[in-house]
This record gives sequence, C-alpha cells and structure tokens, in this order.
Amino acid sequence: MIRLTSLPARGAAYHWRNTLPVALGVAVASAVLAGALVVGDSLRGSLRERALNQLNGVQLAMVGGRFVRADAAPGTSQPAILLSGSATAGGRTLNRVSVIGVPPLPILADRAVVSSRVAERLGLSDGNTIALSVEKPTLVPRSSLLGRRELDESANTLRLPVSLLPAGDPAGDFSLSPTTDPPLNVYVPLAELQRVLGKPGRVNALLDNTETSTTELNAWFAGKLALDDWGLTARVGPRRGAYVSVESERLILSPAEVEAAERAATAVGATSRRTYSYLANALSAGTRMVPNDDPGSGQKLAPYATVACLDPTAPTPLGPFLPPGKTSLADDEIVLLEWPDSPLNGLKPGDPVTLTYFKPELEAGVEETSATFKLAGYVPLAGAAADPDLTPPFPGITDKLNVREWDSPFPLNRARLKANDPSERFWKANKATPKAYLTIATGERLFGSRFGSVTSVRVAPPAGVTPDQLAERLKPELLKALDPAAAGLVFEPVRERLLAASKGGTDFAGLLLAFSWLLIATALLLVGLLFRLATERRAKEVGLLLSAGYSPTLVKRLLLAEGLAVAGVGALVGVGLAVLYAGSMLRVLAGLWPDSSVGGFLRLHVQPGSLVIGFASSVVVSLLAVWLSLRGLVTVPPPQLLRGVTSIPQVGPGRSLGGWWLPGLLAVAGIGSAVGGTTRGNPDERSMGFFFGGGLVLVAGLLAVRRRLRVPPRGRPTSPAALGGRNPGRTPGRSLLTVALIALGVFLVVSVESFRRRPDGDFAAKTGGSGGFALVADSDVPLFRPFDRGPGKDELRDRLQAAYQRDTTADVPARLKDATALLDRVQAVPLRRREGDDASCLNLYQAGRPRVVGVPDALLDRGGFRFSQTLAATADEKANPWLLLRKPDPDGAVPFVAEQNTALFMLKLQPGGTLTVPDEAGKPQTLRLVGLLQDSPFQSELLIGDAAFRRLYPRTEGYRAFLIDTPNPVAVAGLLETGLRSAGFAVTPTADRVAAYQKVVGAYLTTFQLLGALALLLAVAGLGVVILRAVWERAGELALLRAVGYPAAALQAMVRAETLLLLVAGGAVGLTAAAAAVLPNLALGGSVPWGRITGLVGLVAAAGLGVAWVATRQVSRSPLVPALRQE
Amino acid sequence: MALIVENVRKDYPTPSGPLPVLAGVSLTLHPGEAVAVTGPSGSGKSTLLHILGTLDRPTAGTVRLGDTDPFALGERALATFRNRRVGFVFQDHHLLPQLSVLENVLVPTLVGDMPPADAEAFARELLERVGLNGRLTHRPAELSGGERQRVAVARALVNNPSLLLADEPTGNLDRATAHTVGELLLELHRTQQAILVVVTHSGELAGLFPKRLAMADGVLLP
Repeated sequence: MIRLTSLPARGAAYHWRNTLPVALGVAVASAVLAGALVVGDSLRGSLRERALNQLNGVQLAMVGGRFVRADAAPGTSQPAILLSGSATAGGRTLNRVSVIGVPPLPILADRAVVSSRVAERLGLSDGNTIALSVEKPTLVPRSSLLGRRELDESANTLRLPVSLLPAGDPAGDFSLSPTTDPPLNVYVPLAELQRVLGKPGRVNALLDNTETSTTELNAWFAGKLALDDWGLTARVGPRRGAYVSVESERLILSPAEVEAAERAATAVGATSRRTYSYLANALSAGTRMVPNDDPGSGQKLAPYATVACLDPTAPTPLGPFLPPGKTSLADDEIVLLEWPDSPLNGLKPGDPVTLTYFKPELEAGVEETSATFKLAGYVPLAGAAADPDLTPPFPGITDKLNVREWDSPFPLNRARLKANDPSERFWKANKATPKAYLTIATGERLFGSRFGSVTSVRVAPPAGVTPDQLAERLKPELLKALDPAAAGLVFEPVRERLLAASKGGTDFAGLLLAFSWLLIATALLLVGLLFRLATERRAKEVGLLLSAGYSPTLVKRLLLAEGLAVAGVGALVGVGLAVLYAGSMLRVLAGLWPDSSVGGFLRLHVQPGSLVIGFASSVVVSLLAVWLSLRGLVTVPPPQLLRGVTSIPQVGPGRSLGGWWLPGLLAVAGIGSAVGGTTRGNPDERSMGFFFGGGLVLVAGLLAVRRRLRVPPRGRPTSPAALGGRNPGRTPGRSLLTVALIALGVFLVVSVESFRRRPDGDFAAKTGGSGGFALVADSDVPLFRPFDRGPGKDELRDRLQAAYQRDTTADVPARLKDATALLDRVQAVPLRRREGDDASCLNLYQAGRPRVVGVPDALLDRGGFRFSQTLAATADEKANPWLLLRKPDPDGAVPFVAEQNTALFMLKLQPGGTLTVPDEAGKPQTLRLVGLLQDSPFQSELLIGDAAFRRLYPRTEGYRAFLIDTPNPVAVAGLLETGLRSAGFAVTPTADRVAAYQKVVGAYLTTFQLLGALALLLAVAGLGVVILRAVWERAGELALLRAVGYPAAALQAMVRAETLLLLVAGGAVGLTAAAAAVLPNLALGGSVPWGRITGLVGLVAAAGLGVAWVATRQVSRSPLVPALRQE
Repeated sequence: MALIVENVRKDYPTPSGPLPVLAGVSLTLHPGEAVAVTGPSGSGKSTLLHILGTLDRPTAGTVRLGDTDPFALGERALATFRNRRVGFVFQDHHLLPQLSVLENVLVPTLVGDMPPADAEAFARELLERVGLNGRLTHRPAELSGGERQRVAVARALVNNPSLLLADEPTGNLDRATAHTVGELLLELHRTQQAILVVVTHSGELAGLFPKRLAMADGVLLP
C-alpha cells in the first residue's frame, strides 16, 4: 500500500520521460567527477606499476657511494656497477645511457646486451660493435691539485659486440630513478667493466631483492666493510716505524674521516695529530713570489718542496718540529728543514721566506699564489723531521726516483730541475720529506679546500704497545667510528622511494576536476533546469498536496527525495560511464603529452573509493542543483499551482532595469584591461590581464542581453519569425541562463588561447627566457676544463682534428680553420650539477630529491634571464636577482632559484618558502626560494650559488651543464657534439628545450578546451531542452495559430527564430569577450588558432541548428485539437 | 464547530494599485449546514473559497473554524489544520496519475494521524459509498470524468473534515453526472455532519442546496 516514503519513487518512475533527462544530466556530472578521480587513480596506478616493473624486484639498493669489494655484499644482494654514459655505434651517439655491469650469462660473457630501445636508436643488430663512454673513477678529486682533468683522464671507453634484448624484456626497463624517461640500458660483463675502470673485484652498486629491513641489512653490511672499502689505511711508516698514520687513497681525508680517526685513537688510549702535507712550487728567501715560469735564478730558492702543516709541539714520536729554543710556532712563522746544500740554509730567524704554491681547489687550470712567513728557525734532518712518511704515498709522484720523472697533472718548471743538484739529491735520499713546517691552522687557511685539509692523522702508540699492535687495534675502532651513511655506503629502500614518488608530482585528479568545472557546472545547471521543468509540469500535483495539508517543507522534501532517487540512478549510471570517460581522457592526455613514452605505460586503474566519492559527490551537488531549482516553486499559492502557474509574476514598480550605462562601462573597462595587459612584462600576468578584460566584456554582454530580454518589445511584429524572436523575453531567466551557458563556454574555450605559451619575442635577449644563451648542453661525463678557452679549447680542437682525419674526404685544415673561427666566438658558462630527480612538469613522478645546479659567480655577476618574482630588496638585487643567491639567509638556509612552474606546481613553493634536500653526506639541508625564473631552460632543477653547491656537494666535481652563447648555434652544436662525443655531450637549442616544457602547458590547455567544448555542446543541448519545453508550454498557443491559418512552416520559422536568437546571442557575447582576450595577444605577435576556433563555432552552430530542427519537427507533430482543448 | 467569517477583505496588488476582490465578507455556518455560492466570473467566489480553505490569506478580517483562527498558525500547524479540518473538491479532479484510485484517496492520510489500516478501511468505505468499489486498483487514466470526480470527493472526505469546500465540482461534467456528483456531496456531508460550501455557476447544482448565497463585486448577497 502507498506510503509517504514511497511517493517520490512512484513519482519519479511514473514521470520517467521527465526524469530521464535529469538522470542523464546527473550521469554526465557524475561521469566527469568520478572520471577525473579515476584518471588520478590511473596515473598513480600506472606510475606504481611502472615503478615496480622498472625495479625488476629490487627492494633495497646501495648505489654510487664509492667502489667497494664485491665480496662485502650480503649474500642476498647482487653486486653490480651502475654508471651513466654515452653509447656510440655506426656514427650515432646516444647520451644518458645506463651502463650496467653485472655477471653475464656464460653465452654472453664477451658481449654487451642492449635494450631494444638502445638498439633501435643506434640502429644496432646482433654482433655490431658498441662503444660505451663512462666516467673514469678517480681516487684524487679532479678539482684538486693532483687531480687529472683532461677529457681522456675523465672518461673510459669500452668496445664490445652486442646482443639485443627482446622488446618488452623487463631488463630493458630496469631503472632505480623515478622518471618517466624510458631507460637506455646496456648490460656489460661486470669483470670487463671492472677491468676498464681499474676497479677489479669492486662494485658501486648492491641490489637486494629481499624484503629485509633496511636497518638490519645496513647493520650487517657495515660489519662487512673493511678499511679498504673506505679507501683508508692505517699504516706504520716504513722509514721511522714509530707511529700509525691513517691515510686515504684519495690523498685528502674528509672531515668525517678525520674525526673518526681521532675517535678511534682515543678509543685505544692513543694520542693523535692531524697533518697536512702540501706541495709548494718553491720555497724562497725574501718576500718576492717566484712564479712557476720564472727559473728563479739569483734567488735562494728550493723548488718543489713538500710543506707539512702540523702541530710542531707534538711530543715524540709525532714531533717535535721546533727549532732549538722555541716552544711554539706562530701562524705567521715557518720552520725550515736544514738539509745538506739547501739553498735556504743560513737565513736568520725573522727573515722572510716566501712559499709559492698552486691554489688547492681548481677547475679550469692551476692558479699560483704565495704566502710569506717569518723564519722561526731550522730543524735538522733527523728524528721526527727525517720522515718521508709525513706525506702519504701518491703514485706517479712519491714513487719516482727524481722530481724530473714526476707524472704530475700540474705544469712542472723543468728549468728548475737539474740532474744531481741538491734538490734531486735530497729527493733521492729523502723522497717527500717536508722541507718546511707550518701550523695546522695555517695549512687549513692556505691549502684547505672543500675536500678537506688533512692528509693524515698520525697516532702515537701508548706505552708498551708497538706501532704494529696499535695499527691492528686501531682498525676495528676506526671502522666503528666511520659513518657509512655519510659516505653513501648504505642500502636505501628504493622500492619504497619509487612507490612514494609514484603518487605523482601533479595532482592530475585535481587538475582534471579544475579543467572540468565548466562541464560539471553546465551539467548541473542542466540538471537544475531539467528538474525544474519536470517539476513545473507537475505543478498541479504540488498544489494538490499543499491543499491536502502537506506543508510546503514536506512537499519540498518529497520533491528533493524524488530528486535524490533520480540523482542516485543518474550517478550510478555516471559512475559506469566514468570508467569509459577516464579511459578516453587517458588516451587524450597520452596523445597530448610532450613525452610520447607516457602513452606506453598509462593504463586504466580504478579504485572503488574514487567511484564511491564520485558517486556521492555528484549526488550531493545534483541535489543542491535540484534544491536551488525548487526554490520558490512551493511558495506559489496552491490555487495558482492548481491552475498550472509555477511562478509569481512580479508586480509593482519592481527593480530598476537600469540603463545601458553599466554594460557600457564594463565593456570599456574590459577592453581597457585587455589592452593594458599588453604593457605587462610577465607573460602570465599579461595573459591574466587579457583574460580578466575578456571576462568583463562577457559580463557586460550578458547584462546587455538581460536588459534587452526585459525591455517590452516595441512595434508590431512583421513576420512569424519576428513574432518568434519575442519569445525569449517571455521567460527571461531561462533565456538568460541559456545565453550565459553558451557565451561562457565559447569565451572560455577560445580565450584560454591567450594562455598558450611560446617563447616570447625577446626570448633570445639577455633579459629574456634564454638569458641570451642560444644553446644549452649536458655532458654525461663531467668536464673540468672550459672548452671555450685555454687547454680545454685546445683539447676540443685536437679532438675535432682527429675526427676530421677519420673522415678521409674531409679537407682537414680548412674544416679546422672554420671550426676554430666558430669556437673563437663561443662563450660558455659551465655549471655544476648534482644528479637527482627531474623536478619539471615533464616528470610525472614526484621529485623527492630534485636535481641541483650550482650557478657560478660569473653568471651571478652577469645577471640576465627573466624573473617573474623575487625577494629582491635592494636596487642592485632588483636589477640582478641572481645576487640573492649570494645573500646570507638569516636562518642559515641556502637561497635557491627555480622556474616558476616548477616551484609553484611541482614543489608547491612560493618565494620565501623552504624545502629540505639531502647534502652529499645525507644530512638534510634547508633551501629557501628567493626567485622565480620564467621561460628559462632550468625547469628540471633547483639553482643555488656555486659556493653553496661546493659546500653541500664537495665531491660532485666538474661541470655537467653548460650555457652557450654563440651567433652560430647550429654549427657550434655540431662541433661540440663531435669534439666532445666521448663525454656524451648533447647540445639543445635553448628555445627547443623551453618549448618542450611549454608543451606541457599546451597539453593542459588543449585538455581544458576539449572539456570546454564538451560543456558547450551540453549547453547547446540545454538550449534544445529550453526550446522544446517552450514548444510544449505553448502547445495551445501554437495550435491556436495553426487554427487561425498559420502554416506549419510559419510556426517552424517562429521556433527557429527563437532558437537561433538565443544561440547567436550566446555565441556573439562569448566571441566578443574572447576577442577582447585574444586580440591583444595577437597584437603582441601571438598567433590565434583560427582553424580550431572556426571549427568550434561551426560545431556549436551545427548543434544549434540540429536543436532547432528537432524543435520545429515537434511543432508540426503536435496534435491540434488536444492542444486547443488544453488551452 | 461553526465557521465564522467576519468582514474578510482581499486585495490583489497590481502595478496600478491594489485591486479589491473581496470587499468585506461575513458569514457564519454551523456543522451540517450546506451552502451554495453563486455569482458571475470575477465576483470573488473562488477567492472566498480559497480563503475559507486557508489556501489564500485575507488582506483583512478574520476566519474562525470552531476556536481556531487558522491564519494565526505557523506554516506547519496551518498545513496540519488544513489536513485534518478541511476537504477540497476542485473543478479539475487533480488525481495523481501514478497512483491507483484507492491510493489517491489515501494521499491526505499519509500526513494525517489516522492509523494506516483505519485509513485504508475508511477509504474503501468511502469509495464504496461513491460507487467505485470495483475500481480500487484502477489508475485515473482508466476512469471517466465523473468517476474521477467521485474519487476526488472521497479523497476530500477521507480525513473526516469539519469543512468541505468544492470549487465548481461539476464544471467539467455532463448534466447527469453533475447531478449525481452534487447529490453525492450532499449525502456525504449529511452523513459526516460537516459544513459544505460549494461555489458554482450551475443553477441546477445550486438548486440542490437548502441555502444559497450570491456574490457580486466582492460582496456576499443574501
């Protein structure tokens, strides 16, 4: 039997013809809402799937800290070598190749196994030879005096025949980095790679596939590490054999290693002293610096002397190094060794002694400097001073018989080196025994670098303990004191990290929801309109219920309940459609995304929670639309409702219709804002100005339409069409809503074109997006010597010559001359880069550890590039915001600059905001955003000052990124890629790189326009509903006109006129407003996609004509007599 | 429970000023009384009926049914008052097409205080009394005009109202059917001892009533 609660469902079911369109409207809203969430699910799910796939089962990994013994690997771990390099085959070069050394299958023992991706790009077939260039591991920092910086010394090349991995083989996708860039994997036999690198039995990666706890594994691994793995020794010097010296194969001990050695010494009850041995180019009497290219004749000079910086007061066996009568040494004093035939013998205490030396930290070339000290006195070549072991052994130097045989990376002044002279005799007898002594504080000041300022920690054995016994006791304590995490010798939960990153850098669900707002709003407005129309048809029913004693609140609740039932059914259908919609959107996104590889892994992933949220939210918002549509209906008195009246006509003077002044004023303001936007330098602010101006014109247009609809028509209609043209004014609210929907749709879809970005006209200028650099370049192997000057340029020319000589048809001298002429006009700015996650919007993964670039002082002083927002406070900073990178932060944070889109959308940071990144030792460092770049090529990284970079990443040496200024970008790019091929040097026009980033914005805009176009079509469908409703409402009136002799064609003309009037009004207002937004952009050199706009307008017009056609058919189909009877 | 109407006025606002429709109507009716109000179109008789049924509010004057001034009630209480004390029969039957005959009669009881079983039993009894006991499950679309109006009469009486109001109840019916419906209204009102007020143009229907009043220019004439 009937119950109150069953009335809504009964009503909805009975009036299904009315409720079906409402349900369909809800279905559209629900499909779009839930679909957007499913797109978010799909992106996260696809990234997660890809992450798991690319890890190939790896859970934990120790990568890249340093080369350790493969034997140290836990039994569950796979030892490997992971390096980045370049691959060359058949004249083609591929950069950013992952060279992976693993134990090969027996049948592939002498082959490189390449992924199908690499094979395809290099055109490789089974048996072809591939040349792989990888960075050569170095013991001594290349940026220190004894480091090797030539390209040949930086890169190793490995040539192997190849076998191809089948396409789809998981090994081809193996990668530990959260990036959507498809990896370019080449597997090489581990032993072969170890041989080429000079690291037999050593690996730089351990991959673990078990679900062991990271803490447990690291504890176990730390216990397996030997001093050898740290590159440390605790040796007893062979000459004196009096103490233990803790030294590094890298020559300089890091501060952490020094502290560990001292802690270990304390633990075994021994005393220790720091020592820093440095090579002076010359020790000379007097205050004059003797340059290295000066033979130094006529001056008391000892060439190439080791200077030891230490505690001169240390007791035996670690000292003392004090002249007789002295109890201490001041920082401005020097003690000289008194050795036979020393040119410096015989000076008096207090005499000046000048020490000439190369600066300890260098990149491009050596730089000589000097310091003058007061002579404190002499110590004899005996006891503590007769100790060549104060200087750690260094192959190529300390193992040579004389200085002339040194294999030194720095220039030797051979004119000062004479056979069998006193210096050579000293070397032969005493090797690197220091000839002078300074305090350790002076050593730190003069020779300290980011790599450290200690070459050994000398430990004196306690009483009763021999040096050898001490060494054995010291080693385990030293291992205990060393922190594996600071050296990168720890396993990291890479699976966990990649899965966290797979949550995505961009909230695609939110983005798509934002893009879909017009579509959702249109669907909901349509829901409200349709529900109101459906309810109005049942006004008499409402009147009956009210007269039967149902309160207005109850009636409203019953109607809302009916709306809920309809919304529920619609939303349920919509949730089903959401999956199809999401699938389509994924295909669209994959098609539009600049990186085509994204399409290869994007798959549909549906989380039930998203469907539930989509269902619930669409029901709620639909119900809200229904509630809004019902406002007022139940306030109509029941007698009028019983007569079918659904609104109370306004009586009395009512609100003023206003004049034309308000729309006129808004239109003028809108055009002013749009034109004013052209004066903005910031492209986004400019676009906002255009858009805002267009928006004002849109409001003005709609106000004008509103006014026109409410003004009573004047004069007599002269045709049926003119009669029909008056009809929109009979239901002004409904007509205005229809016009507004169409106008808004047209405006938004067309006007967002003004946001489509392309490099500006001044892009190439110094103050433009490129900073005045036509090219940007990346190098897989870091370069140490600038290729635009000095020895680096000579090296590049030599390599070009070699390349031309390999080409037998080339006129080598002519080509080299041309190349030299081109290179003479090249200016390059090298930048350090700490590898990390790509922070740009091109990377769909979340960048947990963004890439960091160090900006050199030269660029900071030069300035340039375009900043959209900065924390600049002074006039100088405003003129050159790069200076902010040198400005100390009150909280100690490191200032950084980032591209605007990267900061705002990927890092979610505003200027002044901070983020934390790990430094080289894994310690968190706070960075503060001080400026936003715009349209720069630096969208994938954070930029900090070079000094801060060297402090945070002291071991990240050389330059991997380059800005290149040249008037001949194409030719220079070719030269550099040819000459620096072995370094994996890749050059890109700056405009191309920026355009690639801007394509992401373009993809978003196109998606928005696509969804906007769908909304527009929905609005046109709404127009159809309004017109059909009007035809039904006026069935009696139309029948009367037919009865008095109007032919069907005349009635159709009336309906068509009404439809087209609304359509044209909406289209005209929308297009006029859009023109205000787009045309100023055009005047600035932007382009307008006329084809796309014409197509859109054509589509809307065609849909509108279709609606008019359906409506007019309805007119001629309406039965005459029943309609008249109804009237 | 008498119906007492005192000096009721009703004006409608128009752009050119208030338009008086009722110009001071007073009337007293006692339970069991039946009155027919006649008059030309625009005389105000339907407006009077709507005010008596609380579907519209008077501009001035008072209406009391027993001790209750319905226009002093809040929205919810007024709806309850209308549900329990007033029954309407309109010229158009206004049956809900999605419900059966019996369900249509029960619609007022869904918000009343009558137990559902009693309500259904009474609705069946009323439908039997109006001669439709064989059409209980039929839909309105399956009934003739007279049958639909008889259903509307049963619906108006299902809550045992003190006041039964009918606005041109036979306006859409042929002469014979109109007579039947008129007699039915009087018979049922006698049975239930309600006050019956019928507004009609039909002299024939008015002739069935013991008391007749005429309206002209918003004034009730004896």
